[in-house]
Amino acid sequence: MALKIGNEEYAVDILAIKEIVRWTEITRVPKAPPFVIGVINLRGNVIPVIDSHLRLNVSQNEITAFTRTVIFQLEDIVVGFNVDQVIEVISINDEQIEKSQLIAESDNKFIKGIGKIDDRLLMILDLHKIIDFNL
Amino acid sequence: MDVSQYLDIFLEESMEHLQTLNSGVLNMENNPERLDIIDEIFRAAHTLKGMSATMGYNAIAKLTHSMENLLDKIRSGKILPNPEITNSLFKCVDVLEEMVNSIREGGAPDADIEGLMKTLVALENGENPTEGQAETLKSEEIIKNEVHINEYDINIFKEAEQRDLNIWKISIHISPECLMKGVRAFMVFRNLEEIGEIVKAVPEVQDIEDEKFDDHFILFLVSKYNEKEIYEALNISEVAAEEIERVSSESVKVDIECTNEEIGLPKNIQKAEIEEDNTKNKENNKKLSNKKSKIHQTVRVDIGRLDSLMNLVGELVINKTRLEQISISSDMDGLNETIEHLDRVTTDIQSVVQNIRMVSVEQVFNRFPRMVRDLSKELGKDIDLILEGKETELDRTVIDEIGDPLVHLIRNAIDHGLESPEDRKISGKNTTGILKLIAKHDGNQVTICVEDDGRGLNVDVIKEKALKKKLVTLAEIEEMDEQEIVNMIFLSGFSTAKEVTDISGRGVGLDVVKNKIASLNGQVSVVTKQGQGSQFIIKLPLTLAIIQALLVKVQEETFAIPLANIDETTNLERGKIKNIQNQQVMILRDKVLPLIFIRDILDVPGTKETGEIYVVVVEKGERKFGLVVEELIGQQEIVISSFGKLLSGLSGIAGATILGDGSISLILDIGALL
Repeated sequence: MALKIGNEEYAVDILAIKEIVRWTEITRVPKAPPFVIGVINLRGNVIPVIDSHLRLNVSQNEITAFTRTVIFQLEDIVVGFNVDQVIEVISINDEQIEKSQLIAESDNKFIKGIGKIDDRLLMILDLHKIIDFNL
Repeated sequence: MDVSQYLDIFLEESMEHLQTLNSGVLNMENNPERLDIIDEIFRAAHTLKGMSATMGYNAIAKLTHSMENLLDKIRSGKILPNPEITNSLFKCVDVLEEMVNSIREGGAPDADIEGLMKTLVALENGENPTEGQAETLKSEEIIKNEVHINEYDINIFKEAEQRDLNIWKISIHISPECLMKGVRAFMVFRNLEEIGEIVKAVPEVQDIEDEKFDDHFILFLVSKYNEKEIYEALNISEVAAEEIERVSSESVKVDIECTNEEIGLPKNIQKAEIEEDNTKNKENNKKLSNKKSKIHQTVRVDIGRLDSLMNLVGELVINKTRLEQISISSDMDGLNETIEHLDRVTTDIQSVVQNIRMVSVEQVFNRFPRMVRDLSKELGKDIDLILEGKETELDRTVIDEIGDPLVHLIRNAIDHGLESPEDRKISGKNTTGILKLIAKHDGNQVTICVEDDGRGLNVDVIKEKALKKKLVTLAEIEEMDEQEIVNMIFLSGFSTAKEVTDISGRGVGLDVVKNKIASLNGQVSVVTKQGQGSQFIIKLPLTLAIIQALLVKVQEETFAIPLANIDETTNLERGKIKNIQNQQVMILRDKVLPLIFIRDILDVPGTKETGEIYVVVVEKGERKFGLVVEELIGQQEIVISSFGKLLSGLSGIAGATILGDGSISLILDIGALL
């Protein structure tokens, strides 16, 4: 799944995506890590939401009609991820993935590699690292 | 017959019966004259025998059978319980437990029971080993055909006579070479039923069908037909009607005393009940039906189903709350009433469902008397076990897990804590050591204490051990206060026992206990006084997902405070806040109450200032605090939604709940806030 965060495109494993919801009211959670902007009510369940800009050190954008919260499920952890736009479903083969050193050290811990499709560059996110609060 | 599908039930029920046997024999030891206890033990052994025979576990069946023989002699007064008997019975129960456990692990239940059985038989025969075993074994299979007529039967006879029917006493003899006695008997029944009604059978119908008779049985038939016709009806091969005798209600003797040697317990007991209150049986013209025992009607339910049920009830409560809110703002008459009714019903469902999963700790506590008895005998110590609060209830899953830690703590107390009688005498204590196990509810927690009046923990020894095992450095030890030092016993690798005994001392114990309890969201701590004893305190949450809470507002955010923590609420003018040593306080009924501003500790954004504020007085342990909020919204029932792993480490927030309008409110964890 290709996502737009800030001015760049990112890709995530589609199998980890449980659902995608529109922007809903977020309840702040005190003393949470700064990139956790709060929790939302997803059909009776309380799900924490990570803001992608804060997590990936990308500049913030305004909330638009395209803003979405992508709900990931990894094993038994369910978490939401705010993005600026959900673009499309794409397939990236292994040959198209490059483990590039271009990205700055501090940012690449969340990035598994770079996918090249035509002339687009998509950064592939490592979800396990994103939801690991120790990082 | 494929019995593998019954394996689960067999295992569960066997454990229950073994538990009954354990506690029963223990009771019998202390009250040897009480026959009802012996009956209970007998019943448990008998049922176990039946179950294991059905499942094909013959070793278990044989052993329980021998136990039955011995117990039977005891309960008919022919033998009195003595220490050898109790010990052998205990050994039997242990062996049975082993066998059941090996079945559970998929092995075959083969234990060496020969020796044990010989002992049982010897005891049964008053320690005279010359009497044959075979005879006792066999004679129990076959029911003695003593005919006992009771008042109930007489009533039936009288009724028959009133209706001008004949009553026949038929002795049926089945030829010894006959292989299928049960089938023959069945044919006899069938033929006789065609010409009349069988009102009594000796032995019971069920026993006859199970072939538990020698070669003859007796039937009482009420029929309008005469002797000849009955003979004809009984013209079945290999069946001979030995004698047909006409009886009348006067000619039979009333024999109310039930000394039947029959084995067949629920029926047996019921029969005694029926015989004793036959006045209630006047309407009852049903024959020897197998009435189900009315002691306990229970249903086994898979825990997963209970979980789903609880989740659904939780959602129901949320939606009910939403409806309530909607109905407050709308004005429809009928709606309000209906919602109220819905409220009552939902509350009821909720408490029923919550209670379903709650089980009393008695189950767990029951294992201990036996364990303490064995340990105290083994170590030569005299110990008095006191159990308090058995009826305290805990969630089922917690009960299952709490057993092992408790066993460990008890073993520790007995092995290390309590001194030998001689030592106790020297220190001026009673030679009998006291071990107390107390369970009680405390707000929304359950507390279980393991208390002993032994030698207590020696702080210096602990220090030494910790240093030696390099669990702490000298510098760190200097900083610790006494309680912290004592708490080091929970560290992995710690043990102050001089030698590793079979029972404890391997140093693997207390940290495992601590972890287990932590996994149940509980805590364990220890209070000790050298020379006087120690007290291990386990605190467990009740894990109820639905609680009563007070909703409060701070700036724009809503928070929920569990009602269980709240003492009272009061309002306060800002001007009345005082300052003592940099701590803001207020005076509540002449006492100083420290104030905590939610706005500050939770970094609530916003700049609203109100002149009047509200203070929620909460209690933590012995101390009271006032939580300052801006608005009190109201009391409400909320469903606790856990945060999941990611946010569960947050201190001060116990979880979240979804309010009636769909918004989320955070639940404050009072304990952690302060």
